[in-house]
Amino acid sequence: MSTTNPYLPIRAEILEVRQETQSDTQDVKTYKLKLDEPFDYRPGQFVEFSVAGIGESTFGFASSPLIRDAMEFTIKRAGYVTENIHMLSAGATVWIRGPFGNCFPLGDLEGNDLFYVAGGLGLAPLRPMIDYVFDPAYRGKYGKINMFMAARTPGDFIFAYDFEKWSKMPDTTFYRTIDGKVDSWTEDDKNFVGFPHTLIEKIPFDLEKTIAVLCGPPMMIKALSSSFVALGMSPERIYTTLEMRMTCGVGKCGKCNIGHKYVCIDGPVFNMAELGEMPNEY
Amino acid sequence: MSAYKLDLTGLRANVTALLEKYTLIAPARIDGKLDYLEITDAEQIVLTNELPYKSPKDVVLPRVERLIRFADGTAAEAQEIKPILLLGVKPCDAQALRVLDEVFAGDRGRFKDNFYINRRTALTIIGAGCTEAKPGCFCFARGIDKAFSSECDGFLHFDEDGFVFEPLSDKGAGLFFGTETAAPMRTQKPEENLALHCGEDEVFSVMPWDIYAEGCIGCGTCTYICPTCHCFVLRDAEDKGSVDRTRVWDSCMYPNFTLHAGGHNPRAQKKDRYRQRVLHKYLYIPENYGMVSCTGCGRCIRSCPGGINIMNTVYDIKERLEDSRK
Repeated sequence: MSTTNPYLPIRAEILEVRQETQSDTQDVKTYKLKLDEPFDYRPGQFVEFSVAGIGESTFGFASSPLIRDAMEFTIKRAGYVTENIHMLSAGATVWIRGPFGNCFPLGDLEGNDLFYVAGGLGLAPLRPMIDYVFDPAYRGKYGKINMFMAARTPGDFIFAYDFEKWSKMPDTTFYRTIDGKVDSWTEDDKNFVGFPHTLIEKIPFDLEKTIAVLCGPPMMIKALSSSFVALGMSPERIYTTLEMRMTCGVGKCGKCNIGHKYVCIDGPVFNMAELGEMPNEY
Repeated sequence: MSAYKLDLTGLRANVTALLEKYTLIAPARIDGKLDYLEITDAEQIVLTNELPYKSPKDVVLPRVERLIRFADGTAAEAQEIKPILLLGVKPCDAQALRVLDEVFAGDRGRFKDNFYINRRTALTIIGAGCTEAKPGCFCFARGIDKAFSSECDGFLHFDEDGFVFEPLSDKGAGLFFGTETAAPMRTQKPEENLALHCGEDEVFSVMPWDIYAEGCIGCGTCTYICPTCHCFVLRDAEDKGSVDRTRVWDSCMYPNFTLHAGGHNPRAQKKDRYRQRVLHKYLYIPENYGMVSCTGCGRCIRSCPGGINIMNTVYDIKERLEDSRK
């Protein structure tokens, strides 16, 4: 139960803006923020991020909670608020309230292998968990890791600057795919062409020991989850994080519910067994 | 607690005294229509069987309310509250405030809404009953007593000589004076028969939502006029160097309500939106808060330009559920 006012935002300064996508639209940037009053959060949670006078939007954390002095959000230019955020540069003031929502059940997942599949911007809400698990203090608690990154074109990968570091992590295999062939892309046993749900069967993993963690466009999540289930994985072992239009973040405003579950307080992280019991309205 | 007998003259004298201390909101006429309005003269108050055409929910959730002000690099709470006495609230509307209390301030909600609680704490509710149901009313099917509600700080019962005031809480005690008398006997609550006891899977993709929603023109009137609908949006407005963040009523009947910036819309069709409105009231709030979020006031039925009738929809769902279980 929150005892403070959940609507009152905390002031934050933009420390750094990074251009993520290198394709024509250049429409994804990462904002590194320093909050006046920092707070703790867990991988999978989200905030309401605002520009005073413009309004709020909902974004998942895109950096590890173990980084104490700053937090990052990766934002695609898609509407009124995000267009205005994209005009801001280092030094500008923004406002943050949160953290909201549940989180990836990292404690329960200990001892398992992990298979991350991220499509496009869907990698952003997985990055806090990825970096948390890779932290030397926690890496030993989890088994083998498969990372499978999908993007429309080679220029559409976000966090491409992390890929080399991630691929060299112990007991980790790193795969990538793009939607269609281009000259600059060389296919091999770790770099594919095609949609991830048609490719996961080419990646070796232990069906009994693996937890799949998926994030991407709704179509991709639905197709991927079906592919994992078809390979024999139980729906309880497939996790995803949902995105919905939201106002309040605290279960009141009435926008993000799927049946009686609210993505803002019961989610955004669900496993496929939970989603299977909810109406198909996401 | 004792009750107090008073005639219309006595009631008006009491109201005149209360006007010194409270902003008083009560049923009164505007352009011939009865609405819950701010009263400046005791003679404006209309306490009859008639139901005000709009609900009184804006006393706790104003249509537009400033919550936060940004100025000089700070953000601060900027709500303005004054003590309100809501007089003559009908039992259906008193029950609606109980539902809103549960959602915004109850222990079953995981967050409490400070701004709602501030207003609710400053609010005193005095109920007044109905003597008979009007066309469109279905409080009886919802198990709500038209003549009395205990969800009030005090209640004005109709009496052959005028009224009997029965205090129901510390807040309500001492508000009206008259000849001391016994509190009227409680009437029997009608049996609630309009509720859904089923799983989401039994109705969500099963019921003919497209037929139920056929008349809907997406105007949102039902949600604005409803005493329990509480969906909202936060909006920023700049004024002379400072910025106000306001809470504004929103409506699940609008296509943009759930539209993602990326173009995806989980409730893209009007049947999806009408289903949300009906099931939010009859399944989702009952599941999350233990009470149905429809009080049978009938306002949405009376005001719908498309002739949609939520009572008929829920009765039809009940009938189909019974058939499917045979």
